[in-house]
Amino acid sequence: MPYEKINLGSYQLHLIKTTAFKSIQVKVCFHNNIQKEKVTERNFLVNLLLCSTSQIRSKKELSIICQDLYAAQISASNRRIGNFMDTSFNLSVLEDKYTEEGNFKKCLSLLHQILFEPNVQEGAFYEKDYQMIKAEIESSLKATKENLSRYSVIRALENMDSESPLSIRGEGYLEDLDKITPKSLYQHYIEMIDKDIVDIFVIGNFDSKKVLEEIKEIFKFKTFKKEKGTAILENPKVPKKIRNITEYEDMTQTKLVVTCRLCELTEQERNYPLTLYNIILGGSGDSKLFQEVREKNSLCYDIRSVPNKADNCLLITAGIAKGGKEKALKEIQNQLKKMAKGEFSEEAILKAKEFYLSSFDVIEDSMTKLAESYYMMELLGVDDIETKKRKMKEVTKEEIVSVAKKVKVDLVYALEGGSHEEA
Amino acid sequence: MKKLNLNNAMTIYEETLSCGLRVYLAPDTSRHNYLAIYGVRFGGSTLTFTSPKTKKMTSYPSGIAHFLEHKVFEQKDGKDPFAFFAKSGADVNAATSFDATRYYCYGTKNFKENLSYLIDFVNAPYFTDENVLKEKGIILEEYKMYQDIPDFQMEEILHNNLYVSDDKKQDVLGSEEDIKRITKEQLYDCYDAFYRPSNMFLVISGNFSEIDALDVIKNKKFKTYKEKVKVKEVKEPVKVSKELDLLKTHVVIPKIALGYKFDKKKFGLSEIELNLYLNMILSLTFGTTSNFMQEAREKQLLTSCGYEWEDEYGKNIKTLLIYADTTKPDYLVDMIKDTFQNISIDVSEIERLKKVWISSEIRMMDYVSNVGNSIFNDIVDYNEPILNRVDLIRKMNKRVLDQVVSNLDTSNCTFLKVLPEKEN
Repeated sequence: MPYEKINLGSYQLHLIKTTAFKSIQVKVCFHNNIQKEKVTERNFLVNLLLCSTSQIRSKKELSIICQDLYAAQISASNRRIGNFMDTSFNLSVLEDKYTEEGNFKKCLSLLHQILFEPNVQEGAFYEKDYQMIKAEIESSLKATKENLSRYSVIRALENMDSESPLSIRGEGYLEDLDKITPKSLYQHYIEMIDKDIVDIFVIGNFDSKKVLEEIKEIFKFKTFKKEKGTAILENPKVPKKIRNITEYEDMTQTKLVVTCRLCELTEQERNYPLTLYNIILGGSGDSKLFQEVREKNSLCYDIRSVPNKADNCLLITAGIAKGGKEKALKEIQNQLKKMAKGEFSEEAILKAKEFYLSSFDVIEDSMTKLAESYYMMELLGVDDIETKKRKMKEVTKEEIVSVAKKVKVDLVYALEGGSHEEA
Repeated sequence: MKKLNLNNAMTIYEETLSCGLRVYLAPDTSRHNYLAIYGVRFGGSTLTFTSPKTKKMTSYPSGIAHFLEHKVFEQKDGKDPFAFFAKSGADVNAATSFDATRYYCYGTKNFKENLSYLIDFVNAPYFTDENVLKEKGIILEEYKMYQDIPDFQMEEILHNNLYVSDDKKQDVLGSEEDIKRITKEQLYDCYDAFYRPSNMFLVISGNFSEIDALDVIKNKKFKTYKEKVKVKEVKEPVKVSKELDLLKTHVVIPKIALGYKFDKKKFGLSEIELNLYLNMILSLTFGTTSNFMQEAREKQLLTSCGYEWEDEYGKNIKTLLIYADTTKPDYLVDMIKDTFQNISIDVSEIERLKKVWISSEIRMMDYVSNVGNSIFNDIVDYNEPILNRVDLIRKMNKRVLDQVVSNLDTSNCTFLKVLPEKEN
């Protein structure tokens, strides 16, 4: 797939050409070191920017303009990737040949307007929008506990290490909301535009020269920035003992989260054997955890393991029958031990490799996955798709066992029904 | 094979085998992946029918279609379908709705082998007392997982309050008591009654050859049945069973759910046309470009809002479910009801939305799973794929839309208010 990375001084432009789609996607990514106290404000800001601009005065008007541009979709998202806060603005629209000549450029201009012409007067965002978004964020933050699965993971990470970026809530904090003002938001906006590192990705069937000129003409970031630090969190210490924490909510099931530290992984281990280790342990319907805890012992409906490479940690999550926690935990620990002893077959490794390689085959069938893949190459310095495929095929059982020995259970967190007194 | 044209942009092939199985193939070799869906018109809302064994009209426990979906993965030879598909890096899964159950595999390699095994494992049920008991533990945990989600609780109550006789009163997952009493004999009864080629369909999209696919399918032996199964006919009244309800649960922000019931025949349109017009009315009245949404957001009345239509092929009732998170439940409900009474849509809005929908139809073809799922959903909803959706959208006009609006009788409505448990 033709890929070009062009350094435009204040940002990098990535052009990924493919004829597989009828639409074109543009992704403008901002990243910088994460600051816990700024997360809520960043979410607020992104919502405000998508609400109105200096010329488009309401969300309704903005939605109508998007629809008139042949259903152009503009969205944004915030997330933490290791030490970084990542904010991405996405535009997706049909190629001009399916709409009308010039439609794509008009969409780029609209994205520019959203990013560079906010609805600001005298150094402060428009009060009415501010109040509206504040109310929406407040409700959404208050509702965090309604999704008990997600809430249990949030609490497990907070209990894992409250000082580490891995414990930062991506959605922000209710207690920070009142500190945010229309003026502070504007200051935050200036900082994001001036200080965050910017990458722009364009994916689809386009004329590279033309798109380069259009992007250069439309997106003019003034400041030149330098990467500070790395996304990967520092190597964790081996936990001295496994901690147990149980919290209580009004609920039927027990949400179990087992957090594991990945200690002293090499870059090769983090990028390759760890992935296969996870697929075999709990990353698929054929995994050890799924087969042993769910299928053989009927202890849960859902169980999975998820590695977070940038955080050097791996989480095992399950919704367990009340009273089944100890049995499930014993089985989970048993499977972790078996992995470390190398008690898994060569066939399981081959299946895990197939699983992984298939997921790579389909990257080219999805614009979002393509953009993400190239962005991770930029952000985490991971190999390109072809190198990844080659290196993954070469991973040996010994390498997976070596990773398994570096997976150390740190915390067993349970969110369950009832109260402490009842327990 | 019959060659069909999907929106003048894609060729799909249709074949009905002598056993009655309908096959739809949408090959696209520019993709890497393929999606194969093997489905049956049997879901959570069919609970009373003539037992293939006793030939008597029999009622079955709620949740049985979903239980059956889980158990179909059990194989006599002990082979695990998950392990089989994993060998070639493919995903396999299943889903049960009110009106259908689908088994699907999604992969990039071993197309013929995977398609062959998808058909084989679905066609070979193996239920024992022991494996049924084992599954109860898993399904009860799934049930409890959903019981901890307020939105799911709301949907369950809303269905119960909307319907009088239809088995949609019961959730697809079933009740805890019913899940516990399901037996292997009942599962075989359901399987034998509905998992018959004439009641099933196979939809495949993506990277494969139609010749290979048909070759695999035609080499399979499908069991055929002589006697017909009669499903109990339900005449569901248009009146809701309960107009007002209150749920106190672990929410922080109150929620509302409104359920409306409509008699489809009153509109005098085909099912697909009715769906298009009703969706257009809802989108323009309550969507992101509506005055309602702008006003509700500016007044800080709601934080999220969504709606969905529910329908079943061959049934007379169509329902609309509206959900919202709101700080002022009663005020918002009044506002929604007022908005329904004053629907006014102009030509420019209709034309704009038509443009959006036509664009979406073109974009839909960028994704193999969208193509396959769209054909499958059409078969479930309309008994055939809708090939000319773009033309139907182009033909939409204000005259018909106004007629639909004038027939939109919103008097059959149920309102569920959800408040925090700890509030006085």
